[in-house]
Amino acid sequence: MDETDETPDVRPSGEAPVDRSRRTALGRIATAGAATLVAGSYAGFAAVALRYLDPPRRTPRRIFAGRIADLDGAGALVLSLPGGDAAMLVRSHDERGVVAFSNVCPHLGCRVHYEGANERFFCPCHNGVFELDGTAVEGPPAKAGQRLTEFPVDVRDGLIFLRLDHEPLPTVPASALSRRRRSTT
Amino acid sequence: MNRLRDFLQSRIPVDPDALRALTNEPIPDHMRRWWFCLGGTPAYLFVLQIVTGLLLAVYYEPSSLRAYASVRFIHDDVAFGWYLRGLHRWGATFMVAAVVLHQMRVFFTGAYRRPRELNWLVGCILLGSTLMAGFTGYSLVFEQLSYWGTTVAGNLLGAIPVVGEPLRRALLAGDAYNLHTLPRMFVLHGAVLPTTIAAFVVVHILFVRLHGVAPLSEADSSRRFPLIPDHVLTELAIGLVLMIVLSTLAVAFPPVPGPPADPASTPLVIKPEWYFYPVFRWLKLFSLPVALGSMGFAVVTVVLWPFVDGWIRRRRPGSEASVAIGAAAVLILLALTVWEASVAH
Repeated sequence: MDETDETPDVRPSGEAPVDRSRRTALGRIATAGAATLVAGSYAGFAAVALRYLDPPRRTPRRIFAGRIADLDGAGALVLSLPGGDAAMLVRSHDERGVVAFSNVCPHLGCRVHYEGANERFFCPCHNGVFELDGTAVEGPPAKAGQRLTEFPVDVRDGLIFLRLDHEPLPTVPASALSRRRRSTT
Repeated sequence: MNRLRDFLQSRIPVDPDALRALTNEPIPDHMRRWWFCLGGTPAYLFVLQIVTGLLLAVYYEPSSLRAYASVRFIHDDVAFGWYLRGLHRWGATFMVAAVVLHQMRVFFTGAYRRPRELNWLVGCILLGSTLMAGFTGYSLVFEQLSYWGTTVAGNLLGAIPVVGEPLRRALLAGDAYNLHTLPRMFVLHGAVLPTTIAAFVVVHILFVRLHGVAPLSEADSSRRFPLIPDHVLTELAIGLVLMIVLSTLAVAFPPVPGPPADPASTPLVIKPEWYFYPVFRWLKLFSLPVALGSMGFAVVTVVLWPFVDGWIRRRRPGSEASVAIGAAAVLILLALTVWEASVAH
């Protein structure tokens, strides 16, 4: 932007001579100021855009999961959550009384089963085994020192509530889809 | 720094001096005044619409079940969502205004005259695409105005002889607004129209570079200043002022979504965006065939004006009839707009 040599001076030649050096210095200061202002404005806009791209956190939702009495009879309750995930509820031996785990294996994401007879959780994909407190004791998850993800639980008057901090992914249940197919054929 | 320059120059074999000569167009002196820079303004706003539009599309869901809720989500829940939506909405209004003002400037200074007739046609395509983008844009909100605006526009298209019915079916994806209508509005608004505008902006600027900026007078054509940095800095300054004005408007008057679309009931007071006011009022004044025929005639006349004007000036050399005709047209459009704006029905 050095106007003494870079840009071809196409101004008419009749203009009065001016103090070139002072004008250049002032011009540089003004240009630097303007450039800072422009860069700052667009950086501010970029910050706004970045913040916008981070979706808002949902406030935790509580959903009714079952009764303590049902749990004592069954050993474990499996609760399907909207979106395909499931929570497995089991009795715990500490003061909480009930704990809930996600049935997603921390190894590679398969669905873990509750085995009542063995009182453990088992992942059929790579033979991961988890104790009822969620700790992995066999298979790749045990080697990596992993645990099943735990959902926070509230127990009130024998009723179990699950706290979900994320929005479940809304999907169409397969049953609804096949019913529609049947009705059109 | 030098090594980087050598690296790039050996891999992008373009002569920097030739590139400078190619891009650094001499600009006639009258362009030092900002109101002659209205051509760059819609281009700047177009970039802003692309940036804010991409951001809005991150959360928008183009289905009649979810569209309105997703717009409300952007407006109410996402951080700065109301602000970006405000910029997009006000940016659209300003873009239409800037394109219209630019076209008026070109008209009244006769800059469309030979040899620049084709660039006027390109400009008309850009105006049409911009208006279409505005229309499809507000149809995406899926509020009452979106639904009824699309319905009315579809039926209006359908009334055009011969080609109308296929066009209507193409726009509405069927005989009436249905499940497949909104996704195609989204594709038009988010993909087809932006690419069309971008492509024709390139052609438009190429034409300007090939012909040079139209001189305002003989004296004006001798005084020139360089595009880079002088004119680029002017455009940058206009861009900053626009950002400040648009931000202020977005904060002071954020576009709150209206009531959600209800196919069972047309609201008692319903109006399109301001830039369709003249059309809307015209449709109330005349029967559909008369209104449609006259609007079609007006559009064709505007598009072909450089040739009409050339014909007039061959008959009567030096005629400035276009100024009188243009002024009358602008007054009529203004009157229709003000009329529509000042009454409920």
